Parts: sequence; structure tokens; C-alpha cells
Amino acid sequence: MDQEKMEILAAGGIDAADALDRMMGSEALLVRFLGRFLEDATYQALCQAVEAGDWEKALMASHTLKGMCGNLSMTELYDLFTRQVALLRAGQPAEAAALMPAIEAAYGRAADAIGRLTAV
Amino acid sequence: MKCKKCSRRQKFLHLLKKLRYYIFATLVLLVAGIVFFFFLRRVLLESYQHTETNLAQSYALEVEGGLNTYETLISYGTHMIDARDQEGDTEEKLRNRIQQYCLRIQTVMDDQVDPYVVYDGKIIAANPWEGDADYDYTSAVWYQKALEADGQVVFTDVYTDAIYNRTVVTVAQKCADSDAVVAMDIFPENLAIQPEGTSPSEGTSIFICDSSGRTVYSRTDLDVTEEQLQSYIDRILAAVEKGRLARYDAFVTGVDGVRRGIYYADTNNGWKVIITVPVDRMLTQLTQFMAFYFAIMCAWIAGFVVTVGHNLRLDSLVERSDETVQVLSNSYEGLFRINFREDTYEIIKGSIYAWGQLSREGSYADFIQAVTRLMDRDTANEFCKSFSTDSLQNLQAQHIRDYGGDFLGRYPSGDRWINIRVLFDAALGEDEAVLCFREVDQKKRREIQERKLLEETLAISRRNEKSKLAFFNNMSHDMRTPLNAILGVLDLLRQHAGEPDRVLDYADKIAYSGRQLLDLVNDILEMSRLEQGKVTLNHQAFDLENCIRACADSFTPQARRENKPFEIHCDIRDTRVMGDVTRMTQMLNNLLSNAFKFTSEGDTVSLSVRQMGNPPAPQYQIVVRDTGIGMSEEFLPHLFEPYVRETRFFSRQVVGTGLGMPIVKSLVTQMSGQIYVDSKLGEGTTFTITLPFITAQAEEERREQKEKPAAPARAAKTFSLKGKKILLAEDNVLNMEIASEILSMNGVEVLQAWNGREAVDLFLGSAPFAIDAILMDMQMPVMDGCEAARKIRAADRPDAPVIPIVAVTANAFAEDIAATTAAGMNAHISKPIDFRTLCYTLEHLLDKGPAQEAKNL
Repeated sequence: MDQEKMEILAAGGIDAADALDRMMGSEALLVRFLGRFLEDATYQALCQAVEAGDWEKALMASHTLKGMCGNLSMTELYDLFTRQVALLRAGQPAEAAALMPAIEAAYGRAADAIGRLTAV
Repeated sequence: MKCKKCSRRQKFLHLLKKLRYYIFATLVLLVAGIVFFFFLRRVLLESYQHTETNLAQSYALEVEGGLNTYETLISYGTHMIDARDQEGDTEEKLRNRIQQYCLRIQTVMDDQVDPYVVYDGKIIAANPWEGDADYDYTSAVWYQKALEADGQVVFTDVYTDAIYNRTVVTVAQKCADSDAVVAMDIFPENLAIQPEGTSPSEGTSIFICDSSGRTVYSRTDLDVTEEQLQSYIDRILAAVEKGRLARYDAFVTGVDGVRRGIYYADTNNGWKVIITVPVDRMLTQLTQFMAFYFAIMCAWIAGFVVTVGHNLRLDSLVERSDETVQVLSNSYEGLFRINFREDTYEIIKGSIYAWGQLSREGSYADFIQAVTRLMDRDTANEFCKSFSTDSLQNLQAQHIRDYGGDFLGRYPSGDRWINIRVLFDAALGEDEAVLCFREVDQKKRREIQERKLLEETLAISRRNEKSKLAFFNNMSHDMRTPLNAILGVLDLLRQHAGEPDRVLDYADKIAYSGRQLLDLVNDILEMSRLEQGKVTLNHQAFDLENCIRACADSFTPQARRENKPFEIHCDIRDTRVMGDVTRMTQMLNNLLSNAFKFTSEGDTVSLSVRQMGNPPAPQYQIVVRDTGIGMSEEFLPHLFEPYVRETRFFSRQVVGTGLGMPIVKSLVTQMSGQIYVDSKLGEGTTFTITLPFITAQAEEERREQKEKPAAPARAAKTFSLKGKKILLAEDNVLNMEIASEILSMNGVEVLQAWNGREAVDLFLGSAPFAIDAILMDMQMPVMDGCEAARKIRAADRPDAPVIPIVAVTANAFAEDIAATTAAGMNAHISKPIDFRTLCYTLEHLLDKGPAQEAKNL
């Protein structure tokens, strides 16, 4: 993967080198999976659950997202979801909900970076 | 731009539609005006044609009358000559008579004519002509014509007389019995043409021309030469000839460029009387009328334009206000006008539900019924009461303008919060109100959520406040106890100062109470520092196993003394890690002293430590288990809250601050670890802690790598998963794909299971030992990972107890890991799956694991 793409992904909070290492260096695979990440509806499920105050569902969704972000080395989101899961597990929904703006922003950045990657 | 054009066009069409009646009326008036104009013009011109032709005819008659006079005079002459001739008058006598005749006629006609007679080859005139004798009358037109006519009176065309050198017309008649010809020159200007009772209007010209077209007489305002006039007359005559002037609106343009209507009549001697009237003159009245008409028309159109402009401005105002109303009404799901005197409603704007339930208008009762169908019974009752017609009338009587509230609507499409308001306004009818429905779902839900959060926060802060208060109460008691003891013992010491044995005993007691007090103060200070986040960890390389063993060993004497079996298991591969050894020790001390504190003689205390994961960042699980008194379920959630202590602790007269566990929790959190407690009253307590550490070696390598970027690659793997068959249970599509892809790339055959149930089924459906290992996601629908692992372990087949099951989860929570172990899983790896870790773990399990042993059996 060239430097430009690496930088684009880094700006979206994605550690491309780490992810590629996991994907056995297959850029095509990484790009495909990143695209699939945006198609996944779990993020929307999380937003809805938090909105509705359904903390159990929110925990499930946040947990799933944490796994996906981990797999794709989306470090920024991964850290956020890790914190959110911890807060939800600790029974601190208010604090977990308070993370949503940061998550939203990070998700936006990641989506933007992935979009730009496919455009390059 | 295009759209703008469209909308402008649409606006224009709309305007046209609005103004169609005005435009139509204007067009009708215009057409009527034009038609009327042409009709009037025709009538006028026809009437002119009629009267002017009549006038021409009366002129013609006049001319004929005048000429008749000359004819009569001539006939008298010829009769006289014939009569005298027959009576046998002498030539001399006859000549005299003819002479006399000529003179008489000249006298009678006031010298306006010149009579003469050709008698016997000689011309006899009233005034003898000079050169009469030379005059060759036989070649004169009048003479030849008279001979030809043989007794009839003839008229010559106008010609210029040789003698007088003026235009004359000669009238002549040949005598019946002789060759004598009586003739008379008449001068056209003397033709007195003035028919009685008629006078030509201004601008009218009268022309008389002879049969050859020569102008005999003209009376005109035209200021032109004779030649020009003649050519004008010639043109008129040519037009007459061709019959072009029979139409009422046939005009001839004159020398002066003025168009004139031409009217004419023939006289019986072949002359023509022509009257010309300027068209403008004929149409003066019409022109005046039309001018008047157009003035009115212009006024009408001007008024029309002003009205349209005014209308347009009003329209745009109305449009703006309509748009505003539209925007406002868009925020409402339903708008209804209610007449509460007549009990009716009208839908202004309805939701899909409303249109499905109601017609456009109907009785208010139906409306109420339709709305209440959406509500719970209690809400419906309240709604019926609040929105009954009586209630609405009441509201209006009280001049309440806006009334309403929220309710949870049970729509077929799902529950939604709806705000319903009834609005009264002076603009509405006296008995009318507007009912509006607006969805406030999101707003309402957020409100509820916020309120819940607020309540929770409030409750927490109250609880904190309360527990703090309780803590200080307890604390004062706790501090007073050792202080009282010290003071009491000091009293005893004074009394027994001389007894060395007792003094030593008292000193021990004082020291004990002092230490207790010191512990208490230390804990309080520690907690407050932790709470303020003032504690920073000191990252240094240390040997974890040594630290744990040293800490545990310090409790061994106490265990022996209190007769409590104390077991220590330590199974860690990478012992050198980076961390804060002091805090680690403090944490372990707290846990172990807690365990010993709440156990009685004979109870077991165990400490087991194992490593999960591999360098560079393995996790370590520390489990402290005791079979002591345990904790109540109600207290468990509050265990880690500072300043809370279960009362039960006091009943056992256990001295402590209640801060031990909160301190442990704080430290674990600071070390990025997790703590999980499982306890049952009377059965004991288990604390499970997981802590991530970076190995000291990895840290060194990292440092080296920083110094030398081109560090040698990591050692090649010796173990290969190639050809292994692994059952992978994972519910998330993306995670499944990624894991499958990575495993496949490493030559692993992957069996996919989308939930625990599928995993169990796949395992049970496979031949024994066909599947080499199972990777199990923890959180799955239908059946979770732990349940599935339990089911697999419980299966009745040789590989069931030994197949390696590895938990895969994004959470490395201590309780999760404890649960996986309890469910019979062999290991735990965290998401994201690190292939090297997976390899390492599986290598460990497959090569040395019981599966291998079982296979070898």
C-alpha cells in the first residue's frame, strides 16, 4: 500500500500497517473489508439503542463494533468502543452515552477516509 | 435556472388563468369596437354614396334642363326657317329674320350664348364674324354632326373656339326642309348648376365632363393646373369605366394625396356629373366617435393593468403567507378544525392513519373515537374528558388559547409519542377550534431518557452523599475504638507501672491499636489521593512471579496461625513485565488480607495466577478465592463504592475502613485491568482480576527498534496450522469474513457457524477428531459461546472433552474469562485475532494439549 493511502487511512484513525499485517499483506482484502464495515448496520443499531436508552442492546452493538474495529485496526474507534463497552458493563450508561459524539465524529472520519481510499 | 424558468412560466399561466375573464372582456370590447367601426363606416359611406349619387343625378338633371333650353331655342330657329321657307319668304327677308332671331336669342340669353345659322352656304350670326367668309364651316364638327343627325339636336364635345379662343360647346340642328343649320356656341362656365335645396358640403368637388372625358365644368377647392385636373378626371373616368367605383368604399387618391369617394351620374347627352368627397370629411363623426371609444378603452386597460398589479401584489402576499402556513403545518402530522357547537370536525391535514379512519368531515364523536383508538384506556378516558365539547366550550369561555399534552400513540406502525393541542383564536369562528397533532417521539424519548439519566445521577449523588455521611459516622466510631483502647490501656499502665510484665503487655496493646489507627488514616489518605487521580504508576521492569510469591508468602504465617489452608498456583511463561511493583503488591495485599479477614478457621484461601496471550502484550489473570462468609447479593454492586461497608462486617467485629476494595478497584483500573467479583453469602468470595502487561523483553525490543529501525525480523514460526480444520463460530458477518479469510490464507479449512447452536450442531455432525479446534465467539444470538462450549463438552463422544475450544472476544473482562473457563474452554484470545497469537495458542493446545494425548490413546 502506498504512502498516500496509508496517510488517508491514518487520518481516519485506521492503522493500515497493522491491519495489513493481519490480512497477510493483502491490500485488496483490507479495502474490501473496510468497505464492508461501512455497510454493516451495527453502528446504526448502536445509535438507535443509545437514543432509545436501551442499554442492553447498546452494549451488544458496541461490543460487536469493538470486535470489527479491532479486526480492521480502526484504532481510534476501537479505543472509543472499548471505553464504551467498559462503561456500559460498569452500569454507567450516562457516561457511555456521552461518548456518542466522539464516536460519531470518529466514525465520520473513518467513513470519509475509506471513501477517499476507494476514490484514490 | 431551468426550474426558475419553469416556476415563472407556471406563475404566468396561473396569472392568465386568474385574469381570463378580464382578458376575455377586453378582447370582446376591442373586437366589438372594431366591428362597430367597420359597420358604422360602411353605413356612413353607403349613405354618402346614396346621397352624393343623388346629388350627382340632380346635378345631371340640372345640366340636362339647361341644355334643354338651348335645344328648344335651336328647334325654334329651325322651325322658324322651315316655316318661312315654305311660306315663300324671300331670301333677303329670311336672312333678316335669321339675323333678328340670333339677336333676340343673344338678348334673351343675356349674351351668354353665341347663336349663328348656316343658310344657303353662308353664316349668319348675331355679331357678324370677322373672316366669316373664309370660315370653312363644312369641316366643323358641329356641322357634320348636325348633318349626320338629320333634324336631331346635336351637342359637340368641348373644344376651343377658333374665334373666341375659349372653351365652348356647340349645339346644332339641321332644318328639316332645307340645308340650313342653326347652331349656338354655349360657354360651360355659364352652366348655372345649383340644384335647389342642396348645397355641396365643404371639400366637395363637382366636375362635369363630356362624352370624351374632357372637363366641361369644375367646381373644386383643389388648387391645381388644368392638366393635373384633367389627368385626375381621366383617372376617375377610367375607374368608372372599369366599374371599380361601384363599391361604397372605392376611393381615388387625388393630386393632393387625399382620398376621396367618387359619385357620378350620366346626362342624356352623354355627359357625366362627378362629385368627389374627401373620405376624411365623410368619416369625421366616426373618427370622433372612435377617438372617444379608444379613450374609454385606454382608460379600461389602464384600470385593468392597475388592478392586475394590485392583484399580483396581493397574490404574492397571500402566496407568502400560504407558504408560511404550509411550512408551519408541515411540522404537524394532523390539523383538524373542530366546531364544538355543532359537534363537527373537518380534516385540514390528516396523517395516513386519519385518512384511513375518517372522512373529510363528520361528527366530532367519530373523531374522538378514532383518536382514542390510538390510546391506552386511561389516556383515552382522560382525553375524552379533556377534549369533550363541554370542555372545549369551557376552555374558550376561560379564554385559554392553547391547551393540550402528550400521549403515547399506539399506531399500527408502532408506538409514537404524539403532542395534541387545541388552539382557539379570534380568527376562527366563535365556536371553532383547531386541533393539531404533532409527533414528538424523538423529543419525548430524549426527554424521558434525559430524565432517567438525571434521576440516576441524582440517585448516585444522593447515595454518595449518604454513604459519605455514613462513612464519617463509621469512621468516627472506628477511630474512637482504637483511641479509646489506647487511652484505657494507658490508664491501666499508670496503675501498674511497677509491674514489668504488664507494662510490656500494655505496650503491645497500645502499639496494636496505634497501628490500626495508622492503617485507617493511611487508607483514607490513599483513597482520597486515588479519587483525585493523583496516583501515577511507576513503569519499571519487574518479575511478576517474584512479586506475587513474595506477597503471598507474607500471608503464609497468618494462614498457618489461623489454621486456614492457603494454596498458591502460578502458571506464567513471561514473568518479566513492565509495571508498578509497589501498586501491584498493594493490590494483592488488599485482596489477600480481605480474604483472610472474612474467613474463619478451616476456610481455604487460594491465589492462582495464569498467563493469557503472548508477548509482546500478554494478559494475566489473578484469582483470589476464599470459602469465607461471602457477601450478600444486595451488597455486591456497592462493593467497589468508597465509603460503603456492609453492616454485616461490623457484626463480626472486623476492623477495617471499607476502603480496601475501592482502592483495589482504582488500582486495577489504573493498570488498564478489570476486576470481577463473584460471591455468595456463606459460601465464599472469588475475585478475578485481569491485567495487561507489556513484557520487559518487548519493551526492550521496542526501544532497540526505535534506536535501530532495521531490526531483525521476528523469529519464523515453526508451527503451522496448514491443513487443520477449525470450526469458527461468529455472528457478525464482517468479523466472520475477516477471520475466515485470515485462516484460509494460512491453509486452514474453516467451518462457519453463525451462532452457538450451529456450532454445536456442526460439531455433533462431524466425525470424531475431524475438527481440530473450535474458535468460539462469546456473544452470539440463539446460543452464546459459553452455553455452546458447555454443550460440546457434555457431548457423548471421544473428542468432546478434549477438543480445544478457544474463546474469542472483544472483551478481556475478568468475568468473561472466568465464565469461559467455567464453561470448559481451554483458552482465550482477544479480538482482533492476532494470527501469531492464535498459532501460538493452538500450538500449545494441539501439541501438548490433551487432544494429542487422547488421539494417542
